[in-house]
Amino acid sequence: MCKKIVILILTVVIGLTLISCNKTTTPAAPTDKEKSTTSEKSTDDTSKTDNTSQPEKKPEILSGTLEIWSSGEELGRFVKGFNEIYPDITINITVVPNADFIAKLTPTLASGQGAPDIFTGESDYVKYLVEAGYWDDLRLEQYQAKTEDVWEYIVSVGTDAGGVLRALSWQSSPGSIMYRRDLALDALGTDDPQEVGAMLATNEEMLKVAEKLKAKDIKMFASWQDIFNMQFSNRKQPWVVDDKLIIDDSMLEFMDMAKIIMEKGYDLGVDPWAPEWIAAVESKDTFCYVLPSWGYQFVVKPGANTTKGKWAMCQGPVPYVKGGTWLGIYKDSPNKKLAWAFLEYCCLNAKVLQDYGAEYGEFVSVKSANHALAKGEGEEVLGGQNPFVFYNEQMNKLPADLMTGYDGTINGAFLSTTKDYATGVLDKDAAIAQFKEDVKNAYPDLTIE
Amino acid sequence: MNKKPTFSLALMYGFLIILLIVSLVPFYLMIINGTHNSFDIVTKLNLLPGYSLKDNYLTMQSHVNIWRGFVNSLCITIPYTLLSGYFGAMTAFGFAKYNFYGKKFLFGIVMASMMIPTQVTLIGFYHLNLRLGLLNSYWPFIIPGLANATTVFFLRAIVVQSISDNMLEAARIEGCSEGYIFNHIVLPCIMPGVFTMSIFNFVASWNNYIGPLIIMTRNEMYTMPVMIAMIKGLYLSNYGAMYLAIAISVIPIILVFCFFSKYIINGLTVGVDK
Repeated sequence: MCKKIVILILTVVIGLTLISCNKTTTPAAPTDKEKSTTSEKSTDDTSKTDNTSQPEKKPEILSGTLEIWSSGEELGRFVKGFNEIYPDITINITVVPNADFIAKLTPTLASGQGAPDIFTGESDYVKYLVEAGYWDDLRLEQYQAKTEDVWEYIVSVGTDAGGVLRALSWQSSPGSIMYRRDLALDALGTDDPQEVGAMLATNEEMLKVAEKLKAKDIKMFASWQDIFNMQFSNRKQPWVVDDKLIIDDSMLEFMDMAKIIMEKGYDLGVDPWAPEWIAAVESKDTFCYVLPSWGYQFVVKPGANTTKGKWAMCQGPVPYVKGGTWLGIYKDSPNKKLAWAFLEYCCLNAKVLQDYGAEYGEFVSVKSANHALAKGEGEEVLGGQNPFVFYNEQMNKLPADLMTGYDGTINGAFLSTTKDYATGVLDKDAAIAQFKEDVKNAYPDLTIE
Repeated sequence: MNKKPTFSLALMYGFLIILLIVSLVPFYLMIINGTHNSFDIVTKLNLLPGYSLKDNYLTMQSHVNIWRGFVNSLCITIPYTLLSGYFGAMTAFGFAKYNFYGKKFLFGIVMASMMIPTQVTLIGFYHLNLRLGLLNSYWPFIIPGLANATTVFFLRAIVVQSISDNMLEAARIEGCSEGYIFNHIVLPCIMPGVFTMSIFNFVASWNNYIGPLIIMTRNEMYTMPVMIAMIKGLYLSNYGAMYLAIAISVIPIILVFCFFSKYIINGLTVGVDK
């Protein structure tokens, strides 16, 4: 009896090992992929003949399933409209939490099995994905992306070091200082965006205004870390040049500024996205957020209830952009035609983006759509100010794009050591040394002086 | 004489009641917050139920199908817990009561595997499952239950302590096979230990986040922790919906604790030599 059981178990175990060995020797992945590519090819061929007979405009009949991995939900907003044009394309959007997006994406792309046709890249790591070459060249013959009408910034971020365009976006995220009109009128004597903006023209002047507000028991900022969004565009050089870590002087200035704000109590003393930080939209004593367009869309606009109409946008010391999500087509995707149809629909179609911007209040990537939206009525929350007018101006004044693939990690390390310095845990030299140490741990290949 | 015990009793009860409140309040707040909207949650301390339960539920369902995630989690967690309990006990019995060549070495491997954090093996785990063709299935999370090092380690000590060799010899003389001895004599004796480990295994498997996130690519296969993370979104903060989802996800854990804890208390009298 006992022997029989042992023999049985042994056979099962050996059998299993054989099966698994078998699988490793005959690669399962390529056969799978081959199958799908061959099936795709046949549909591709038929649609190609369609395409040559009917140039442009009339959409070709495409069908199939498109797999999209996204770090946010916004892409889902395009699906309904897209399906009106291409009813036979099923779109599966997998939303992967942003913090774990790269962790999930990397092994999948390395193996190639189960990889999505389109995946997004959030600003923190989009440059890494652009340079990694997993995205297809969007200027290839089958795509021929026309980007004249797209903000230069969007194209520049989506272009790799070799000048190849790999990703585009439906949104762009110019920055602003969003402040409370009522508090400005009370403490500064005006609520006009131009005049308030003039009072905040440099970092020093911002701190002066903060002092004025403090006299009235008003906190100038929700969190000093918000200012980093803007300071990020105030640098002269990116974090990494020729594999060497560069700490721009403006970053050192920012550290001191953070310390002053912390010591004098110009902010709420909480981290961004903390409950108190979100709740400050409705507070009686918080003057402003330094946030880009997504900050208005996701923080101020949904949060403002009793403070509707009491908000306004103005420019801070520098015009800036921060954030945004780019889209690219996986280079080995079997569904490139479908993927391009979707990408073109949400990143380059001015009509679609204009409707999208009007519905969701999001500043989009295509200039003509934004200009059309700037003619519309102002926002109730902003007391009639039209954010599109403001953002369009800002986009024209933008400095060069300083993004690198290292940004997400380095920014995190920098903010955390700046926090240690601002709260007095470390002195400035120790904080900078700590920052360099953290960067070295994350990227041992970088030269750090 | 009469007064003193009442006073110390009152003190003891008072202390225990405070402990009870401290441990229950977070659960209570979690459930109550599930009925408030995000804004109330971040601005106030809510002690009474709110009116946003339905809204929160709809928000939650618009992001993910939470009940599907619930079923997925159960499909993984229950077989995993059963397997790790049964096979863990079996391996532990083997290590404790049999002498064979290489026993120390094998047990060394068991010990060593307890010391490797899962994050380190994650990429390897992914590639292994890729080669085995097990991506997008529950198997990568169920099969490892067969070889749960912690369970083996813990139960081995219990077997050594509570099962005497005499008893096994007596069983053999009576004509029991080794399998019969394990199933009918050893396993019932160490059940309290198995239940204790099962609680830990259940909770660990239920809360596994990074594993399912990496292995599964299909939304409908995701487990509860992954779904909860998906509700949060990139810029949005649906606190109400998240609290509701977390409250739902905690239900099985609480049930398992309630159900198994009585066996643990019985476990204080574990063993046969009484």
